[in-house]
Parts: sequence; C-alpha cells; structure tokens
Amino acid sequence: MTFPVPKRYVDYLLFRKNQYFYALDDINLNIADGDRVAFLGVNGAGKTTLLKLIGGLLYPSTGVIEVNQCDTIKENIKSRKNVGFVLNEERSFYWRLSGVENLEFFGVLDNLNGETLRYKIKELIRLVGLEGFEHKQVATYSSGMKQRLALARGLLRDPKILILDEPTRTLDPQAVQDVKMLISNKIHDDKQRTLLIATHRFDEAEELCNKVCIMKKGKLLACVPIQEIKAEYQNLESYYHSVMNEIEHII
Amino acid sequence: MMIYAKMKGFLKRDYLIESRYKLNFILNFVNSIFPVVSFFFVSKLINGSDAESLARYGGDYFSFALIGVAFTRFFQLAVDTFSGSIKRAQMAGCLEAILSSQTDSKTVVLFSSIYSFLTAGIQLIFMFLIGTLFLGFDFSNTNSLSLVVSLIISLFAFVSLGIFSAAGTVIYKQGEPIGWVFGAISALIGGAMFPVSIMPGWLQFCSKIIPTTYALDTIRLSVLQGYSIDMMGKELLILLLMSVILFPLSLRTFNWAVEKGKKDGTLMSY
Repeated sequence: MTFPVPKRYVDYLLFRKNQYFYALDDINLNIADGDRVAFLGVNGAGKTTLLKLIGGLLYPSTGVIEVNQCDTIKENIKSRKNVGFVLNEERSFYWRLSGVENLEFFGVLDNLNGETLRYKIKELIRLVGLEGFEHKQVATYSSGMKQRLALARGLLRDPKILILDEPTRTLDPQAVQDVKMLISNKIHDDKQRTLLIATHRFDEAEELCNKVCIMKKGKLLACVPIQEIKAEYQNLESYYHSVMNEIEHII
Repeated sequence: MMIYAKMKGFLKRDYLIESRYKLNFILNFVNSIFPVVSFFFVSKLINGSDAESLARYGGDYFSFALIGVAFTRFFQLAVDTFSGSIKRAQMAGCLEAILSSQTDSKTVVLFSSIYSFLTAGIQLIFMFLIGTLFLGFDFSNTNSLSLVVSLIISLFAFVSLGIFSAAGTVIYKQGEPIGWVFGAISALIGGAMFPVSIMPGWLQFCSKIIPTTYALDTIRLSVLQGYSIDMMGKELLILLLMSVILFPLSLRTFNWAVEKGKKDGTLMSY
C-alpha cells in the first residue's frame, strides 16, 4: 500500500507506542535509621530512579514511599526535610559562581540564612577540603572538587539521610580514595546518618556500607547485610556475580 | 523573612551570573535602541497618512509605536522569562538540585524571574529615555496613577501567561506553544505597531481575547491622553478579570506540570 505521506509518520500518529516504561517493579524495602546501604547493579537497573524516589525528586506511579513517616507525594517537602541529595551530575552547579556563592544560593533554598548559613558554609568547606578554592568559580574546579562541593551542598541542612548517586563515578583513583575517606571518616563517622549509595564499585560498597541491595531490570534481587555476605562468600564481588548468575538461570 | 531572603538569593545569583557576561549585558541595552530609532523614522514616513485611527491616542505615530513596541517587548519578556529560567536550569543541570531543596516549585519559578523583570524594566525606561531626550516623545499628558494601575494589572496577566509557558516547558520541553502563540499573536493583532481599528472586523474580534490589546490601550491612553482610571474602566476591568482568573490558574498548572514531570520521570529531560 502506498501512503500519500511517509508510512512512519502515519505509524507515529496512529500506532504510537507508549513512551513510558516501568523503571522499577514490585520494590518493597525498609531502611532503618543509621543503615548504610549500597545499591549495586548494571546501568539501567533502576538504582538512581529508586534513590530519586526516596529523595522525593520522582514520584512512584503506584505504591507508596515513606521517608520519616512522610509520604513523598502527599508531603513532599516535609519528607525531604531530613534528606540530603548528592547528585552525580557535575553540571548541577552554576559554573560562573564560586563554590561559596553556589552554597549560599542552595543554602537559602534550604531555609538557612545570615550568620547561620555563613558559618555552616565555612564549616562544610573545611570538612570537604575545599579551603583556598571556595572563592574560585566552579568552572575552574576539577571533577573531584565538584564532587566535594556536591557533598557540601548535600550536607547543608545536616540531613539524617544522605543519598549519594555514584559519588565517585567520574573521579581518578586518588580522588576516589579521598572522597571515600571523606564519607566514611567525616560524614558518617561522627553522626548516625543513614547513607544510601548507588555505585558500581564493590570496594566502595564494602568500605562505606553495612548492607547491599542488588538490582536488575527494575527489580530488587537481594538486600543483605555485608557481614552475612562475607561469612558465606569470598567477597562482595563473588556474591554479586552469584546473584546475577542465579537470576540469569531463572530468566 | 525567609521569603525575602530567598528572593534576595535568586536576585544575587542572577546578578552575579549576568555580571560575569558583561558584553551580553551591554548588547541587550544597545539592542533596545534600534526599535526606538527605527520607529522614529517610520513615523516620519507615515505621520498624517491615517490620522483618524491614531486620533484616539493623540495622532502621533511615533508615540503610539514607541509605547507599543517597548511594552510589547517588556510583556513578551514577562511571558518568556519563566520558561527561559526553567529551560536554563534544566540545561545547566541545576533544576533537580533546586527542586530537591526546601523551596516549593512555585516560589522557584516566580523568584527565578525577578532579575529578568528588573533588567527588562530598566531597558524599558532606557527606551523611553532615548525617545524623550532625543526623539521628541512627550510625557506631559501622562496620568501617573492610571499608568501605574494599568501596568500592575497588565503585569499580572502577562506573568500568568509566563507561568503557563513555564508549565508548557516542563511538559513539552522544546517547542512550548504558549510563548510562541503569544509572541506571534500579540505582535500581529495586539496593536503593537498599528491601531487595532485598522484591522478587518474578525481580526479586531480576535484581538479582544488577548491581554496585549487592553494593556497597550490603557497604557497609551494614560500616557498620551491622560485618561483617568474611570475613563478606562471597561478595559481595566477586563484586564483585571483576566489576571484574577489566570494568575492562580497558572500557578496551579505549573505545580501540576512539575508533579507530572516527577511522576513521569521527565522533569529533567529537555
């Protein structure tokens, strides 16, 4: 059959496929105060989507997510009150502004102001090791420095829950080490903060977390304390591959 | 108190970023001179050719066109600035970081545009300064109270359209229709460059449904003819009705668009 207009246009208009897909399916998860959970899985497994749902940046199409007893849809701002989000997006800062100017802006958005905010920023700049660079434009920062700044921003309102989306993704080995030390020694060590980390790095999960959740194609395959894994398997990597292989067989 | 601090925060952010692109800032001002001068020469060409349609506004085409062009530009900015600020935040990758803060999306969209309004306001004043000092524009008949009232009511109507446009940007990303439709329609039928009365009847009818027509009419009449609020009661009432209906509706629509974006997972795509 010949169409007066290209067939693909007619198909687009008449038989357009649903542009949406289910990023997560049948997830049921409880995270206790002070837990440090690593979410492992291949790209597209749904790790970031799950963290954004917990952080209230996305809404579930069905089901409920409660953070500190607050429904993330019905009480979105309240549910985010004690949540800090460290995005993996390097561009999530205003590059023409300095580190301090960025933190000032995001701090005001988090209801901090005046001397409290200035003191907080000074403290955080010292904590993440950006002293001496805080007044330089973010455009001049290395990836590692931007990641440190992102950590500082995530900690502005001193959250009980800190969500880190692949915090070491774009960093060189030394910077990875530095950021890991920063998270384990300074950010988590002195506070009983709940950490939720999406990562591809087994060493990161082992060093920073006490629980591991493995995801694939939007499903949560396992969520186990690292101690249990270590008792049964050689290391986290062996456990991860065994879970993945098992699922491959079932599929 | 916190609202004031947030407003100041947005203003400071935009001022600092803009001040680091100095050439762009200067060029925007230079660009605002060209339409003023162009319409001055066009007025020399056509002055007196159709005095009847301009009589309601005092008969001088340059004064008529300067108000039309300068305010249409200002109102267009009011419409574009909201979607522009959302688009910039999306492209800069900052929108997610902003929306993960303790500030609601309505406050974000409103405050993101204050700086643009201020600079556009200064450009507007600059255009009239050029017109007055060098090209003979006359403010002597102006009824200040009517002008301020007309401006405030008009602004609410255009800010509402701007927030609708921002909601369109959140949903449609590129090719957001509201700003485009408003830009195209207002330039053609809103009476920016020629009186609405010279258009065919059906176009005159269409012009009655857009706020530009009433906004320009009331501003021209208060500046050029010194009309009081009473004398423009009907036009101001229509504008007021548009604003009262559109403003809360636009905020709700924007909120709905953000919620939809969060549900569909499309908030950050552009």
